[in-house]
Amino acid sequence: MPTIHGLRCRRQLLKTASLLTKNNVKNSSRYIFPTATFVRTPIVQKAGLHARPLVSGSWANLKSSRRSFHASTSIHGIKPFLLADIGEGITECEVIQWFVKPGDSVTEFEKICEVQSDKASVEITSRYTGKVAKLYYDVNEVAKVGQPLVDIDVEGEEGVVAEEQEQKSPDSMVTMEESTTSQSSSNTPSTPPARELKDPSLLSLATPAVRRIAKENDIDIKLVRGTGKDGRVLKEDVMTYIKNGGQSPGQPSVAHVTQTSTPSAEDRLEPFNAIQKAMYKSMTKSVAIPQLGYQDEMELNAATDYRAALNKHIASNAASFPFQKISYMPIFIKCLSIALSHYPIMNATIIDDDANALKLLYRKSHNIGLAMDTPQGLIVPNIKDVQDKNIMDVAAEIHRLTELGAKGSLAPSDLQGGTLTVSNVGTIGGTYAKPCLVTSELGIVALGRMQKLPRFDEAGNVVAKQILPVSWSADHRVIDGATIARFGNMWKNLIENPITISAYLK
Amino acid sequence: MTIIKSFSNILRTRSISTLQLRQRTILHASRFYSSKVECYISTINNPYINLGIEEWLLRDTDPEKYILYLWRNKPCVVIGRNQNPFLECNLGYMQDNNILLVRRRSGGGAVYHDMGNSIYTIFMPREEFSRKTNAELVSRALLELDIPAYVNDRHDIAVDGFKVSGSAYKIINKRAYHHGTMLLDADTTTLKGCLSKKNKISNINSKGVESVPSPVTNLRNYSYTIDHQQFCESVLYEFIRDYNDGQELEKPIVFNESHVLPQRAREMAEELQTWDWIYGQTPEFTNEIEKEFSWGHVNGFVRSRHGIITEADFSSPNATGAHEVTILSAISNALRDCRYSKNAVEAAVEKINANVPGLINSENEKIVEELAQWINPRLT
Repeated sequence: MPTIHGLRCRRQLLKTASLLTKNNVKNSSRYIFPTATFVRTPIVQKAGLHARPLVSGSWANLKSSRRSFHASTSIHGIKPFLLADIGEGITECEVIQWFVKPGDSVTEFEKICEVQSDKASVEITSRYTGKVAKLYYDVNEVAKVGQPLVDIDVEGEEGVVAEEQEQKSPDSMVTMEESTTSQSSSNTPSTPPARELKDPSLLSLATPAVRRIAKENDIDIKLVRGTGKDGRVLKEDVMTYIKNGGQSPGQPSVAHVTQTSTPSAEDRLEPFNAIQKAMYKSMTKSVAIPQLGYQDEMELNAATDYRAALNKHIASNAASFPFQKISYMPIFIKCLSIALSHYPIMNATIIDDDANALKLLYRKSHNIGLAMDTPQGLIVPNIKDVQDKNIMDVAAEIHRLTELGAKGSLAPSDLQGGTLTVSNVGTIGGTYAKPCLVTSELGIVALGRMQKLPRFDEAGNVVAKQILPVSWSADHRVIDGATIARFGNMWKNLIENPITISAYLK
Repeated sequence: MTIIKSFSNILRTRSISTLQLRQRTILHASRFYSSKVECYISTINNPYINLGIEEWLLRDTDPEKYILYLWRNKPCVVIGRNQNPFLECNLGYMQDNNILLVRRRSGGGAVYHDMGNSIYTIFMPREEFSRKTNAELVSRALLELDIPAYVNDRHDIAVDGFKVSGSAYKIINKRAYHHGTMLLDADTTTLKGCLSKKNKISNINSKGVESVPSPVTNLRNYSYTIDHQQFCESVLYEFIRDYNDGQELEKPIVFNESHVLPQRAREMAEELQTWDWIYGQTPEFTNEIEKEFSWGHVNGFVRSRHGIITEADFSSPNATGAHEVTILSAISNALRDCRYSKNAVEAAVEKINANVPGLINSENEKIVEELAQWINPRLT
């Protein structure tokens, strides 16, 4: 890529850039031609009045994420040395002092410049050995992490078209990976993840220094087996190769990355779908919360009769309701809301973005989530404002959410804003469980499978009862055992004596 | 706790035989190579020398080691690597009170040091660098002394909402250090005199790093008994616990006045005292001033880089006298390439007298004096 020297302003840059079109540049298939829009880039804007001659490597930088492949010419072996991430989430820092100037020779690990970000002053050392070609920033200008800092002319690379992978890892003080590839088809920038290589047989990884040694000794570096990271060829590997008279010890000679193990006929590799990803993330977060478990059992005889009566009522007024009958869930959920009005802390959430000023947000809306098993996986839509709904409204809402869930067309608003969650895993099976908290909530309850079990009544006789095992998990950073026990008891009493629900009618 | 006892002996008596010390000198540091943790103490109170020792510790000791260095200085103001002393400190007040100006090599803001302010530096391998870890270490050391310290979100150590310690960091290829102050019993009046911006009368616009002022307090207000020795012992104890699994160190290495310092430390101390380092590393800034004189209104604009005036422009929109106009333009020209300081106008006048003798004569020297009187205090 012809570099553009000696420009003084953006206007000249734009004009010159526009002259370089596919038609009037030789070997144009080797290069990427950014359109004029590319010129308005962070680098150029930051440059202010003086445009910097753009090295071809950076054109592609501007275009897409820093992980894209691009073709850069190495006719002079000029490598842009990016400002590495100095950690601590810092994205830019001020250049305070240069220790080199264009034309100076510099060796690997020699000081290039000093940068400063608020309180930390960092010395940047060179990654390459070579001659300094260009400095991208003046003293007291702000350098951005991940953008080129200097260009270094690395000897020993003439005439080779190299593809470079750029990595954003904080570890990038370590020498970059490099690969050589054939010239023809690989100019279209593709964006595979950093480790995937296109044609393993043509690529080998080695630093410029190692390549030079190999070249000096007339060794085809592709034949040397690499023992470094990702099959990288190290200097010792080349030396061993020479010593062994041109044989690589052990394994076949081509060293290349094999990313994931090639799947056999029985195994099957599938990426996570969106729901799985969300579950992975939220469960990983949930594990950081100390969860207090509390388990109990409820007698559902009275609730069963109550439900039967309600269903009879629905059957006789079929027109007023969008559903034919209700399950236990609307009753459970409404009772939960009544209990929540007496224990508002169960409906709160922790605000802990400032570790020195922890707060609890007591939420007025009882948005009770209902865990659903759909063909796509686990989702938890919530029923909004249960405190303002009656049992039939709750039932209607559950009906609506179930339909949408089965089709996979729940709205984001249905999925957000939940304050407490119920999981009825008992429809599938199980007794007691250990549900994991949703991280913005303080409590979750899992209902097991209802079973008819023998129990003693007041007279001491054995009678059959419908027993439902119930498992609570609560955030023990806020909720203690007494609270969850009392809350659980209140909920249990409401369900075991549904008549008392009417005492809370407003 | 034999280590602690010997520690306190060192600090209290300060008169260990030099022979003993020379025997323990750093040149034989290879004795310690099996331990990954070391401690150095300086009883020298010269800030330049102490910073020189710090730089030597950074570059010439084993990068894998964790080193704790404890020191304190006689009264001085220490500014960050990339700060503007004309903006940050009241240089006039400092000169009147014999307070040194020091520019350190790490970043950050301006601080006032005196014997009531203890300084700690922790060196560690670069990969281990973290702003929080060591701040928490020192804050735990204070908790051991019954002082309710905590780390705030700027990674400073605070007690009761007031800052007691500020930190700065330097990172090089294989190593990093974190150094911080600790206000035990510093003279807050002098501190305010040196650093308070309320006393400043200039209007400076500067590149570089500006200090973030915070209300400070001395630990003396929270403990009657705390002193430099106690602080050092407590920090060393926490340091050993964290990095040496509680195993005691061999004796800490002490630098005192009679010690022969390593060469790099000496060179660095010298470099830190040069005008080129202290003032010459000042980033670019501008200063604008104006005043109404009897003969006209004067607007002054001075641009300075690396401590030298690069551009000066004193002009008046309404002065009519020939003398006034000549003097203003002569001074503006002569000020260029003079050092930015309260003697700048004097230097400019000398330049004029040398190059254009007779320009300043009995008729207009009054104007020169008026201008000098006005400009000089504003260039400090």
